[in-house]
Amino acid sequence: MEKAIVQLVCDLEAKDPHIRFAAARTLGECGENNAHAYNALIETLKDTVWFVRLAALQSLKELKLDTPAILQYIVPMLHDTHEDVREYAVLTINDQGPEATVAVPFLIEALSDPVWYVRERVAWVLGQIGTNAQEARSSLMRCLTDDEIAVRLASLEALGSMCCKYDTEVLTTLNAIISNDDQPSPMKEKVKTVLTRIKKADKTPNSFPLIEK
Amino acid sequence: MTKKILIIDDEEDVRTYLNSLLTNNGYHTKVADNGEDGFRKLTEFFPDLIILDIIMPNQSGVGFYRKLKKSEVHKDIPVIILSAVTQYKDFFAHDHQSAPRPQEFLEKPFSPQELLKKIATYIK
Repeated sequence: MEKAIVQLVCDLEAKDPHIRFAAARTLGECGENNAHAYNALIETLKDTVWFVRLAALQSLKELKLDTPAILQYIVPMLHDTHEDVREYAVLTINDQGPEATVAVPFLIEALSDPVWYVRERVAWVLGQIGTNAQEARSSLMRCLTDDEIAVRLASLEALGSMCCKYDTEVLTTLNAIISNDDQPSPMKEKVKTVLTRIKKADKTPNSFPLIEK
Repeated sequence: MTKKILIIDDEEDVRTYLNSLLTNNGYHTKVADNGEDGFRKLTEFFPDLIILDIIMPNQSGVGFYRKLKKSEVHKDIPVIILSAVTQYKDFFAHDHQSAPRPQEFLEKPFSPQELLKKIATYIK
């Protein structure tokens, strides 16, 4: 196996991007616990061809990077030139579970991504992180006026998973959406669902320390 | 009435092969070599089904799919994703308002019988 990995690492330098792509993907299948493969894949994140970078990212996701590595190598991929790579970086961060909290400031920045479905995905991941992503609240509230309804809906969902009934600023904004005749019905329906969830949820986030639970 | 299939793949060999396979099996086809070209053809051809590659220059299959599902006119056209990268399923692993999962994934290299069987499931 070691010989095969050495060959695959060499193939990451091949002239043909399809060979580099295949090598990167295969390393994800056989490079577990192999520092040589791991380092080569990290280096491949700088490849000039987007789908090779994506393949390296996918393989690193499968090899289950630890959180410091995520911050160091994956978070910069949120600025990749190709939207699929950026979206996959967001997915990789989400895979960290509770540890993904460390990437929240970078995800907040990514809410301004030029591609709407990357913004939608970022909002969704912030919702998955939930109450630990509360610093994203104001950015998510700004996303409620995004040009794309998919981003607005994902932001609503995210706010619903991190806000509590004492969060008057969010509640006021959500109620304003319901009473705004210009808002499309999917938005109003989603707001109603989110409001119900917020009111039912027995959570008082850390940002409200003076409120008794 | 002959059913129409739009093939979107950047590899000429794959396009040619699929075109011939589907034409020989009674389908009317059109080909596109990337997502942007695919969207143009979509509007003029209005297919009954789309066979979509993922890794393509310009707009990838992911971008094309997201755009398709947002289109009021075209969002219900069934899509078969044909790709060498099964990990692309990750992109569609969670149902979103804007992007419900594609109907089918087929990994390259694929068997023509399997592809024809999948197509027949959606268009008769």
